[in-house]
Amino acid sequence: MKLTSYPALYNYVAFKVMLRHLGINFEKPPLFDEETFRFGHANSPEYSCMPYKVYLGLFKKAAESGFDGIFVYGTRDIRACRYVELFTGMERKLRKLGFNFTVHLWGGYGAVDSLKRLSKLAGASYFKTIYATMLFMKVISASDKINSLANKMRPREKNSGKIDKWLDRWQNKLMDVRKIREADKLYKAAVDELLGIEVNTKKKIKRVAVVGDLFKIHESYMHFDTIRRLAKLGVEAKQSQPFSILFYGISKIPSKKFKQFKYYQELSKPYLKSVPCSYIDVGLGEVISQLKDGVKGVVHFQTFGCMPDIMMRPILDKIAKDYKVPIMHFMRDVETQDSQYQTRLEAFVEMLK
Amino acid sequence: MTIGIPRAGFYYKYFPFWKNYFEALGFDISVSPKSDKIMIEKGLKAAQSESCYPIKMYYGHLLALKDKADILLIPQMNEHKMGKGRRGTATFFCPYFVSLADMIMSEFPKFKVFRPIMDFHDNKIVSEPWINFGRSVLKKSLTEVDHAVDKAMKMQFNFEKRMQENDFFSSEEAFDESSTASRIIKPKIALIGRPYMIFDEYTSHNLKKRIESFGYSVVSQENISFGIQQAILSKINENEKQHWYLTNQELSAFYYYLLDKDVKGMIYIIPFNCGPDFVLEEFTINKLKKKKPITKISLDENTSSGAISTRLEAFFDLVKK
Repeated sequence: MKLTSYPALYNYVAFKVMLRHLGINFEKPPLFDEETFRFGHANSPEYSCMPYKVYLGLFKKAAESGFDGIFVYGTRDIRACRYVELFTGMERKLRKLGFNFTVHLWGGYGAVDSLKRLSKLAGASYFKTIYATMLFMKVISASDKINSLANKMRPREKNSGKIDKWLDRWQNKLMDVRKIREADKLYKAAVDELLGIEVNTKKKIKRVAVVGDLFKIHESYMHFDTIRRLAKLGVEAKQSQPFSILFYGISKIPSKKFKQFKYYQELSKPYLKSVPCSYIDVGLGEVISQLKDGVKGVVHFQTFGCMPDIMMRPILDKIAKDYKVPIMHFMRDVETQDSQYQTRLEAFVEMLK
Repeated sequence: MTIGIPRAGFYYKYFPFWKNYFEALGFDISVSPKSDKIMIEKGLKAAQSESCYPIKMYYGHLLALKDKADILLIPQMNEHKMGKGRRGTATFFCPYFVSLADMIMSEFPKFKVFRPIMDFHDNKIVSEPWINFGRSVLKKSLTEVDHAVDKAMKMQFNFEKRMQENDFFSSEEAFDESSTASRIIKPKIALIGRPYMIFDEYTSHNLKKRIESFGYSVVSQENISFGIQQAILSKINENEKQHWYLTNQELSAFYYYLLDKDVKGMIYIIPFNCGPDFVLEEFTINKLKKKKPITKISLDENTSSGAISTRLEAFFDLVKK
């Protein structure tokens, strides 16, 4: 069995470490390209959302490359948007096309059920599965922290591209973690190396909040690599809804991350009283937290057909109005060119005080 | 005080409950008029262009009501749970209808809104949120609220029974306890889709009458009892079942009417940009239409009556073969 996942937010780094411990062959996902995109669009139902189209093309490429399936984090409750249908739909489509391709959804069933599912998939003992899950938690936290540092430093780097090289190198190194303690050690070593990269400390950096539904805000291909584009324009942006915060929050694991998750939810409550689909309450809470911390604007990246984003839009408008900052909504559909987005982004950055 | 209920969304399923609950507690009810062109156009302007057609319709109805009611009712449609404890299964309402009040209150901060929670357990409305709502928001005594909930539950049950046991097509016809349904003639056509699409005459381009003009009577998923729907769903492949309550209802209706010899064909109504419905179309409709004529009609604000007539004529040519 050879599995992969989606590239979103380096999730695959932690999946690789966990699944290797359980004896499952897991490799990096293939890259998105024009062909994957065209295939997904041509083979998706009319009203399917962008993530469905984009991932269908990617998973077809994975199936062609010899992968037997994908391993992704799942959710099945009120927050699921159409998450489950998305993946079961893709699996059925690929099987129809003759690929023996399976979607393995992990999580979203409660801690015990998730443990049982993972143990069954790997044919491993509960003890071994628990250790693998702990490895996953350590690595996903370290991976998010490294990503977060890169986002902070990228607009300040003197030699363009150094930070991204550093980021890729250390994410790759994280994939080799085999023991729980190694993740922390690697993170410290990564920080030490980062301190050696030349940065312009005098450069005036503007800050904005970037937000959107999980699928596109975790996937740089989907959101036209917004954070890097902003960095080139001298603007710093944090990664919205980092996976480690969501994982600790959803799993209710007592920790700083769980507290942060709850804090964001609390912040969103004046604007959102229902339990929404996706984690838009966490996304909205992050935006409010960053606005309180002085960010100068909000970029909301949407994709066509995404229900959580449509729900988020009027609420974000209200938040931006209350905090008196500009907001830019950008809706991507299959025809959108990244040059259109670049123009909008540049105009928006010029507006920032 | 007058409570405004938009004639849109889940009005077509739960109006008897809402009406009787508020009336029993001494409130007046005002329902928005039937959909028309001007109302829908106002909705289109007010709602986001990317949202689905039913949400745009909902906005139109809200705007039509805002000066006729003191407070608007926008219930939060949560989950539909079956069975007990963690082993129980749940299906959900579309995310828009879960968070609609939040969206509306952000866009129209001056609107006064009541947003009680609609949860369901084994197809019964869970009474607790309505008791809490009556006590904490409406400031009524426990006895008054209990009485109101009991009455509302009873009237909702009566309505659903009338829909399933008689030959009503539109739920609006069955709201009136004194009305009688016309006898359904055979053969029949099943019109399957969201209640807020198929029962709204303007939005559905009066499909019921159009189908009847071809010599068929019309039934929908609302004419199938919940027990039968569950029995059908229990036999369907786990992968084909849906996350959404209404989509599951539609799914069971397709299988039910597939075996009903009096039903000669099925028409599936999909509103523009409806997220939940797209998977059903791809994996169920395309499979079942090999066994019985099924046509899909996608409706949005630009759909012309002429286009619908052409589709229906082609469909009935197929049915009559």
